[in-house]
Amino acid sequence: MNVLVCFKVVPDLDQLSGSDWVVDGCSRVETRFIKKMINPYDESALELALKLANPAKVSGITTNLSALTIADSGANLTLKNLRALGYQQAVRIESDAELDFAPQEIAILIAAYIRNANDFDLIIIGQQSGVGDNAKTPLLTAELMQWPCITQVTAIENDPAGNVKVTSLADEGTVTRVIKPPCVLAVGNAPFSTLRVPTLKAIKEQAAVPIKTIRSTEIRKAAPNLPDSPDAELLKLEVVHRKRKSMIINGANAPEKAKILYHSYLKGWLADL
Amino acid sequence: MNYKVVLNGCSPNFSNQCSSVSAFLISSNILDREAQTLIFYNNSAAKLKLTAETPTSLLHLIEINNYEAETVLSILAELEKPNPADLYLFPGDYAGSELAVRFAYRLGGSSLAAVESLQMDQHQIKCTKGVYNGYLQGTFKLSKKPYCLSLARGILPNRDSQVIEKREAVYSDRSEERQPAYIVKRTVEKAESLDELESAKFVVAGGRGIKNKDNYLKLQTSASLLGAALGVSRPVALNGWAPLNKLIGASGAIINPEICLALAVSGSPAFFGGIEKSRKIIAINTDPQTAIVNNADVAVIDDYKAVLDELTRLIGEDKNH
Ligand SMILES: Cc1cc2nc3c(=O)[nH]c(=O)nc-3n(C[C@H](O)[C@H](O)[C@H](O)COP(=O)(O)OP(=O)(O)OC[C@H]3O[C@@H](n4cnc5c(N)ncnc54)[C@H](O)[C@@H]3O)c2cc1C
Ligand SMILES: Nc1ncnc2c1ncn2[C@@H]1O[C@H](COP(=O)(O)O)[C@@H](O)[C@H]1O
Repeated sequence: MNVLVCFKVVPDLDQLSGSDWVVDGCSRVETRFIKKMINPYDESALELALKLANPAKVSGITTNLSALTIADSGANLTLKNLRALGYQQAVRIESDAELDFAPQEIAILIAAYIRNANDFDLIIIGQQSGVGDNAKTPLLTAELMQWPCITQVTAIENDPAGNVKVTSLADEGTVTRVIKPPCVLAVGNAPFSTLRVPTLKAIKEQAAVPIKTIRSTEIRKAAPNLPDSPDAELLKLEVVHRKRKSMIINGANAPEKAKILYHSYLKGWLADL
Repeated sequence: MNYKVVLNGCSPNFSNQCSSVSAFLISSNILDREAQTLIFYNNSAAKLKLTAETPTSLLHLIEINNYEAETVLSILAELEKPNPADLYLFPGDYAGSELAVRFAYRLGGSSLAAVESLQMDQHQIKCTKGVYNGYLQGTFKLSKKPYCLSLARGILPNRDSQVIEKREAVYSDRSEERQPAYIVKRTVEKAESLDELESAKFVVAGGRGIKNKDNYLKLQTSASLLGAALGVSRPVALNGWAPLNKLIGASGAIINPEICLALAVSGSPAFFGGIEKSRKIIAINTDPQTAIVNNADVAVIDDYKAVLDELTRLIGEDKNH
């Protein structure tokens, strides 16, 4: 089975302090200099795919893993780490365009890549990514491919007969489906999906092997008849103000602070319940 | 500009779908007598109940076997394609969020997920939603009709809700529709709902700083001594210390208790969005610089366990008197 996982490297926005959030009209916040991380849902997606591939070797089903990102060369290190973890292919599509708020364009590039390769059974994508918080890419990819899509996925397992068992959260509860690929899976809050760490030896082996890079214009040519206008355009950014009074309780030690908290605040509030 | 609402009558949260869409319609100032609500449902017995709280007076109830996105989408596209409305509203639950984007694509329209507010005139619509993990609010223009929006989660019922005196419903039966071909087998395990968290007056919320499952179990005991419901941040649920239905935040429960005691959470907006409707927020955190400390009403800078132990002792003492 051939599995493609799409991921995005994002700035760790929790590293910015209050005063860093200055916006002016539609100009973007400067995030170039803050620590990067794999988008949390994509980290889960990458780990769920590794879990799917590993026991498969035991059960005799070979799973071939590919990882794809549309990014600048800053993502190469992550791609190399993924190869060190067992991803056979790690590919980067390079684009000059600003794509944080362009999920439709991302989905088109992903779909074009899938069509070109023409041998993927499962596409695993995160449910949502920063900076855009778009929550659209997996859904649009499924539509472009005319494949079914399961959202809020929490676990993916092999099932005999080449089927796949997918667990997901739905409004009515936890749904388990045994499915016949192809399918797009959008990974949500999946427990136990912290991405494993590659061995130093594996990292060293991969360090010198270059990352396969494709220009977005090239891949776009392979996908004629796909829509090209953005469907939602960002006009303005504003800071959300959340500040409350924020009384800080002073005291010599924890029990003393707890007493002040209880007698001056909590006790009265509890009495009002 | 005419609009339709699409709801999932197969879901136990149907009543929330109705109240959040109604509140959104009121705050956006778009109440239209001709507007219609399409409801997909799968239990004939519940039919009457479904028509009671809907956000519009004209209803179209469509019976299906069970909620599967592929089935609902193909019926929806078939029904709406010949004569689409200008605007479609979907609630912000799992079903609404997936349907809005895919339905827009099928009708050649445009979509936006997790919309907080809407402004429209004859020619275009503008919407706001959270971006940059919820640190910022973005205003977007949608370019092509039909505009398909899924709403942000946690839109609370509006106090001056509209009164709909008479509802008129038409029914279609699509329950014969086959299960989508890609599904070999399907089972559902009904979830313990988020209701307990979402209706609690006092909630204790624990974050990654609690460090392990043992401490989560201890926190459970303390919360029940305090008479509070217990919720957690994403890392606590994803590490498997707590079940997923305890998750609070943008992708979990949106709570609005009288008191929220936030322990060992940093207060990142994706979490804070879940508790910001609390009337009072108390933060206990070792780090005075962390966001939650600025966003609380009262904060204690110390180890959460030491403070909590003393709090439970004090409350216990008072109870025994
Ligand atoms: C699309 C998206 C959706 C998301 N949705 C959600 C969501 O729904 N809910 C959610 O929670 N997160 C969500 N997140 C993740 C969110 O951005 C944060 O990463 C997460 O909320 C951090 O959890 P935390 O505060 O528990 O952990 P941390 O950020 O690690 O904070 C731990 C805190 O504990 C404090 N601490 C440590 N030890 C102690 C001690 N002994 N006593 C007191 N304090 C202590 C530390 O000072 C720190 O402030 C989402 C992220 C994305 C990208
Ligand atoms: N630049 C990108 N490269 C590869 N995958 C992406 C990219 N942007 C988004 N995705 C995928 O699409 C998912 C949803 O993103 P979004 O629609 O932007 O919220 C992410 O979790 C990723 O899996």
